[in-house]
Amino acid sequence: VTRSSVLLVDDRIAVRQTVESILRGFDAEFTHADDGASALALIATRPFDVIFLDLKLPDIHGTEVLRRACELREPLGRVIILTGFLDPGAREDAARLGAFKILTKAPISLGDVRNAFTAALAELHH
Amino acid sequence: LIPVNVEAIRERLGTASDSVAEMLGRIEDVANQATEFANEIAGFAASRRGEKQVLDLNEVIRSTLAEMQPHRYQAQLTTSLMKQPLICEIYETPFKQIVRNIVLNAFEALLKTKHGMVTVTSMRGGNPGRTGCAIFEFIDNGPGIGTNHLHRIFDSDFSTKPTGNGIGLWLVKKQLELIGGTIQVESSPGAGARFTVRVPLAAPMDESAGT
Repeated sequence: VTRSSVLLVDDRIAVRQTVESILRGFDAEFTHADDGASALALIATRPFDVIFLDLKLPDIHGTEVLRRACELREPLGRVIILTGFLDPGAREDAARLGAFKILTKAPISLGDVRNAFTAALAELHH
Repeated sequence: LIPVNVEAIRERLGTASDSVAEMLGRIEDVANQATEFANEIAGFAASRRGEKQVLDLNEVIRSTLAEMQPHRYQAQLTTSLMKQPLICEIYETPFKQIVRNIVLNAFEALLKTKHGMVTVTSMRGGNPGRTGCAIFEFIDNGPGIGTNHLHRIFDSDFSTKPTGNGIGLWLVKKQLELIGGTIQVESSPGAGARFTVRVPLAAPMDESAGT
């Protein structure tokens, strides 16, 4: 099994670092993006196994990032939405666009993040 | 972010150090309290206060109470509100928060009371000013408040709850002051508590309509 590549998209560095700490036990390489445009630029140039995506980004809404990312790359990798405030509309949009899991950031659950990540990896390696 | 990081630290720490675990516990407690505190303040924040509105407080209270969940506290919530409107000029969101706050306090006070009950009533009365006021009473049959606590209950640093931040009733009082209202409490140990809220009516009472 090769090292998995993870993209963390969130405008708060503390969130990205926290997720990285939580997933420390996994053999993964983490890349950070602090807004939608830089996330899309990264996705355009290389594949990621798992993408953690915040919805409330400073430049582009997360669901829009997800939509554009789907146009950039097929398959995209497993997308885990990790967001603070989730309106039902955004949840539907994200699910329709094929988000793998939708998790809340208020508060972040260590168990949920790890379970979602493990499940995402398990699907990839099948 | 604090709780999840504390959890991650605790996990890495294993059972190695009890004193460190104890300190982590304190960080967790304080973080939880801070979250609760921030949520409470946010409910009253000026930025979310909106414009003053002329509303029937009976209706505002009715809709606020409808969203509360007395069964979670094994308590009963009953109302006896006037059919006649009590029109006041208020900030709606903070006013609802005021009502929620008083009722939640009562629910929490009832946790150890069998057949705990909170009753909310409304009426019209004289003062403040010439317009008269809407009067709401929130009555519970809980353990009551000790006389040594009673005069401090609206202080910003007073709480009897182990995790309370003491800000609730203080904010309630401050928010009522913004709309010219008042709050008073009467209670004796073992005999429940009665919070009385007065808010000036927007216009003088129409005497012909009777009271």
